[in-house]
Amino acid sequence: MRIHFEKISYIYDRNLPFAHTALSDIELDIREGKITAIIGETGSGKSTLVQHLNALLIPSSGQIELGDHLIKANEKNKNLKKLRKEVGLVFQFPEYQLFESTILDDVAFGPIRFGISKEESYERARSALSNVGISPILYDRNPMELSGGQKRRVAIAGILALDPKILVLDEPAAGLDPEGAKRLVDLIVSLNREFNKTIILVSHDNDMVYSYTDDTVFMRDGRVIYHGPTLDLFNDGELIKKNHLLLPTVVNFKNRLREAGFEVDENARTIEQIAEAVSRRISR
Amino acid sequence: MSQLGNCKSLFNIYNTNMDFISVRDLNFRYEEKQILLSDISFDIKKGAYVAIVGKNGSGKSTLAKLLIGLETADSGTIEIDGVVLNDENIKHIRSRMGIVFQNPDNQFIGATVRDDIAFGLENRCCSKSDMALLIEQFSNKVGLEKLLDKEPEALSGGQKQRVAIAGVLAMQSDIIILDEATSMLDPRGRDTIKKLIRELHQDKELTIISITHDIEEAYTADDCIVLCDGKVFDHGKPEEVFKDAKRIRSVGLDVPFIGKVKEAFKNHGIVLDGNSEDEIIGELCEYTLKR
Amino acid sequence: MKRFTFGRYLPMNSFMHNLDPRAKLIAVLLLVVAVFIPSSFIPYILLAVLAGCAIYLSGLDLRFILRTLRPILYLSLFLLLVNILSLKRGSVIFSFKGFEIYSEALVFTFKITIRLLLMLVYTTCLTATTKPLELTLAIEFILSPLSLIKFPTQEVAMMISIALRFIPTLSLEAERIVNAQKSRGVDFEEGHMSERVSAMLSLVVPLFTIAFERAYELADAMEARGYIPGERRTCARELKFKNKDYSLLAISLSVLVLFIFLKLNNHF
Repeated sequence: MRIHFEKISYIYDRNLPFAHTALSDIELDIREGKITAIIGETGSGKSTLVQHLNALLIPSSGQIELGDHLIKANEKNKNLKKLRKEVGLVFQFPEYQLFESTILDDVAFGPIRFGISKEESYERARSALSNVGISPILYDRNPMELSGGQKRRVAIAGILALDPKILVLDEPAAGLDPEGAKRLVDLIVSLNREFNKTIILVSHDNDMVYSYTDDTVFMRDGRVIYHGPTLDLFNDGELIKKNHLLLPTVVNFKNRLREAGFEVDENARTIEQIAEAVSRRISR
Repeated sequence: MSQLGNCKSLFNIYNTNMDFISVRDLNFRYEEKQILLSDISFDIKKGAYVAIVGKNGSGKSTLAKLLIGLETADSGTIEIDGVVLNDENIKHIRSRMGIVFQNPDNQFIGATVRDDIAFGLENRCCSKSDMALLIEQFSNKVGLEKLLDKEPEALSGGQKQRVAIAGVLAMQSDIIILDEATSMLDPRGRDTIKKLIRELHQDKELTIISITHDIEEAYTADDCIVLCDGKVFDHGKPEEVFKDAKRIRSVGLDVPFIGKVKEAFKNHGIVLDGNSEDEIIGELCEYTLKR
Repeated sequence: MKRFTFGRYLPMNSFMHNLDPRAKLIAVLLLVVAVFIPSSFIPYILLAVLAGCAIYLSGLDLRFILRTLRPILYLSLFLLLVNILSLKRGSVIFSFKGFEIYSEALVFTFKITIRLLLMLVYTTCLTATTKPLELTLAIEFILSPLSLIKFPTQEVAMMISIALRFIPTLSLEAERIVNAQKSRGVDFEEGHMSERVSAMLSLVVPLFTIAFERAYELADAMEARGYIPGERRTCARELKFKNKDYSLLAISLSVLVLFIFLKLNNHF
């Protein structure tokens, strides 16, 4: 499913004295089937951009191509609901959206809203819950009885049950402990590798972005400063310096090794790869 | 600070008791969250920076609440500077301790930064002039002097946490408990708070108890307590506690970056001992020179 | 993103903005009482002049005032209709094929209208120039005598100020929840009864859950910082009456006293 932003701008509170341009002239083509990160400081426009992906926001100017849907500014856009089935958006701290009396009911809620039969909705719910690693014993429990990490996975299952082609997640690991965060990120990666879903991740965690994503969109003041392979962005010293980007720990270490005279391949991404490269040099 | 009237701490701070905070055989059952703390015992020295780590559900936050008396243990004792915590003296003990919680919004009580820092002081019946002085002094200390009239909506998470810290400092507390105070912040916010805490620890000789997920932060602490399933699993210097990767992983935690680097190199036959990136790079250089 | 503030507080820097909120609240209360005393026409001119001064000193745009007063005008038109059909006293003003309009109907409607308009102008000047928190402090001050009969004024004031502080936060959260549920296919605008109900639930249940969780955490934070409801505490905010505040109080009080006096002497 194609994602193409053409000359997109978005202005909040357009007709009021405190109008604020959140997005200016965005041109973006997000690669299908890949994991793309969207990074940038608070206020860079990340959340605004992401809310255009399922038409929660309609651009002030320009148009967006989302698969078969064409969202144009200043036009009455129809069938937005259908779009929301194809682009699943998971907000930050999604566990707060749980409200049904049982987990299964909550996960089935979404598909039912989209007109899918009750039977199939519950089937999908079971399947989604199993994908996120929630055991059937918990299906009848009240969401409030679960731990934070479990609730989060249930909330994500609620979106997965819609079987979206594109999954957008805003800070999915926020507030989770390292184990929970790792489990979640592994889940997200598997959704991409196994189910070939296009994943878009908004994150502040450059370590996670570096380790897991294929492409990165770097935003600043409502504009796209960089869009390309994640590896290339974090290897570009100039860009990093100019934009005060926080270096992933691994990259920082790699750079310091280089400064100390060790040759480490630019494409070495993990600690394992770095250790191997350096060890080989030492053994020579 | 001169005459502060009834704002002064009600304790004699100059106690030479080395074991400043002493917890003995603490037991507590927390029904709602199905957490059971059992036989918790540890000591914290005055002026130490202690990290308490453990995965979610290990009882870390519950322990924090017990320390500040928001919950009462079923059995066992908590001694702060020689005084055993109980229902009667909790009010006095709280004058020594402050806590910063995880959610920046859910502890911001005042309508503005100024009002929030004043909140604790008002509870203590501080005079208006004393409050004005303290607010000015401590908002300066945390770098918020220009934001005193801002409302919480206008502040970032990191700024709100700084307000909370200023509030604790203004109460002249010498013990600060941070209950995952940075876990809801973005990396920049987290860095600012960590730096601030380290600075405060050095200048003001505060005793800091930091409950955290951030293993990197725990690694820089003086002392580290590891909780698992409501029990103390390990307690010692971070270098010791995180030395055995297998052991620390068995309780759902992980080693810091340095630990992972050392592990990776070990797999290639290179043994490293350093405790910082600098030391490790130094050792690697030595290795190359040897060849 | 800027959120609009509670009530109609307009952040400006007028004369009224700089008055003590207690003085403003008391003055408004006195004047609102005064509005209901006179029966004849002339005292209302005085009140209208005062209203005009208030508007001017508040730095309020006339357009804003007219917009605020519009609902009253609609109401009074409706009232006029009702009174024309029901009030048949006074002299006949208009007659058409047996249908008569009496003077009393017009006068009565007019009186009610003018009173409502004046009340609205005074209170608008108050809320537009006074921050919600300041208003709370003013209310606390006025209710403080009640603490003598063990009414928990300080605690009530604390509750109000916390509620005010959280309105923007909760409204942001509500927006977030709405967006999250919309992303799950919830339609907040269309659909038949059961769908609308479930849409409302999907907003209200999470909002309440968050609010309760928040309340628990807030209570812990307050307790940890030494708050004990019912116990004495001081207040950091300086509220000092200045000369201009006393002048305002003097003017409103004298208007009220004057009207009472004249009324008692049957001058109206």
